[in-house]
Amino acid sequence: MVRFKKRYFVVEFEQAQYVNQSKEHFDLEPLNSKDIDIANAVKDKVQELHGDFGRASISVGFKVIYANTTTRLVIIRTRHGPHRLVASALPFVTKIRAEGVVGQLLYTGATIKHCQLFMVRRQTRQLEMAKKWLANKKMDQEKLKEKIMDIRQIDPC
Amino acid sequence: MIPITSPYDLNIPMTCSPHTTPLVMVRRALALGYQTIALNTEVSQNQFLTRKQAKDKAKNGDFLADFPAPPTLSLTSEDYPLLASRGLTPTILTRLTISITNNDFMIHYNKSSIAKQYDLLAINVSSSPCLSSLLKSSFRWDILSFTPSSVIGGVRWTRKLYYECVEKNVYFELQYSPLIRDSLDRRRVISHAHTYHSVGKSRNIIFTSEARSPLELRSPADVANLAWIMGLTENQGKEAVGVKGWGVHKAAIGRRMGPFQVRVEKIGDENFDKVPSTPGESEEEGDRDEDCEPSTPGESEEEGDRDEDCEPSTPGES
Repeated sequence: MVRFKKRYFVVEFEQAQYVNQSKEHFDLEPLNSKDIDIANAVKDKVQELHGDFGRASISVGFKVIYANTTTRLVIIRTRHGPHRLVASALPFVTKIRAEGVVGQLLYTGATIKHCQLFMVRRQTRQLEMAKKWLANKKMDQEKLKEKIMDIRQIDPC
Repeated sequence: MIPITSPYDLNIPMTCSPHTTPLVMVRRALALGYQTIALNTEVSQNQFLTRKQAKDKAKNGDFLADFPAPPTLSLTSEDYPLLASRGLTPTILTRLTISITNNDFMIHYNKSSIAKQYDLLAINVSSSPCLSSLLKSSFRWDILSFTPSSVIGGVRWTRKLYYECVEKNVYFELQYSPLIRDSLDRRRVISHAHTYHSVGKSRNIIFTSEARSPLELRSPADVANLAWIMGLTENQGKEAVGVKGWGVHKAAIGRRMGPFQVRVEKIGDENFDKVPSTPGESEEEGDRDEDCEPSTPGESEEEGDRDEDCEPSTPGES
């Protein structure tokens, strides 16, 4: 049997209120939503853009998990083929459970391994930025590192 | 040689939302990964005073005596930390978009020195006869834009019209912010994009933002993925954010420079040392064209080798 190919999207959701601000900031506040809320938001947007056909195409093999809640990093798994529908709908996801967000596609990978490598490199950079921005505030460095470098794995099957 | 500085976003309007400023928009775009940005100033042909209107001073309205000056933006390395960490600096271009209804706008454009200071020139056309008459004239521009509201009842695209624009190095702009703002505009822009695909195979397409607020800006990867909706292939989508923007930049520089002139000289003892020593250069010396007129007028009279068959370098010289 030929293998079922998949595509993994690494997406970061930023809160709209911070995007609109003109001040420089580093946001460590998680979104007020769960994995299932993000999945529903993406599926609804695919239905809006591509109709029932789009929604049905992506439903098999579709999974969304929070890789890191602190930096709002999400992994979206789809089958190869319908992944184009999801990728084209991601820029239009502006609300997750009535909370304004702006999504940014960071990486598209065919294997979890390379997504994991990318996420580790990115979170290391985010940790350095967090230490620089939050130097004034008294934060436990170990806890900060634990929060940012904790990357949850997605089920490959 | 103009270096490629992709990704490109060649439409960040100066008239943005009242809650934000162009500097905030540029910072956001640079944070998302763009390296070249064009600040867009929009004017309409109707805003320019004719002689009658200039005499009638009692007329109130949003009229312009001349084109607005190109905007300037000063950035420090703190405004673009992502690029600064890679040792790069952003390229900020200025763009002028003129919405026209007929060729009369050229009267105001040709006599304005300010309009020619812009790096990019975009035209927003409302009808097919207007575009056809513009193509027949000697006017050159870089980007062909459209507003979503003018898609129905606007330009009636044919393959011939499309490729006439392509031959003149005109690039077709597709804006993605109207897709995010409003569902009606979304349908209009997508249908227009599919028209471009039908008549022109989506050649010379660039994706731009036309974002009025930072929330409407998207990263280059997300914009390239919109190709699926707009009727482009995956490669065309990536090129629309990257290489095609470079093409627009080069075409604009070429348009501003004008027809390129080449100086041809006979190799003699006095200039033999200026010949570059590259392999095969000696074989090419016999093929050098000595019949064309030099670019400096009067020089041919001194050398006595004026060729009457070649076109003069400046008009009226013949």
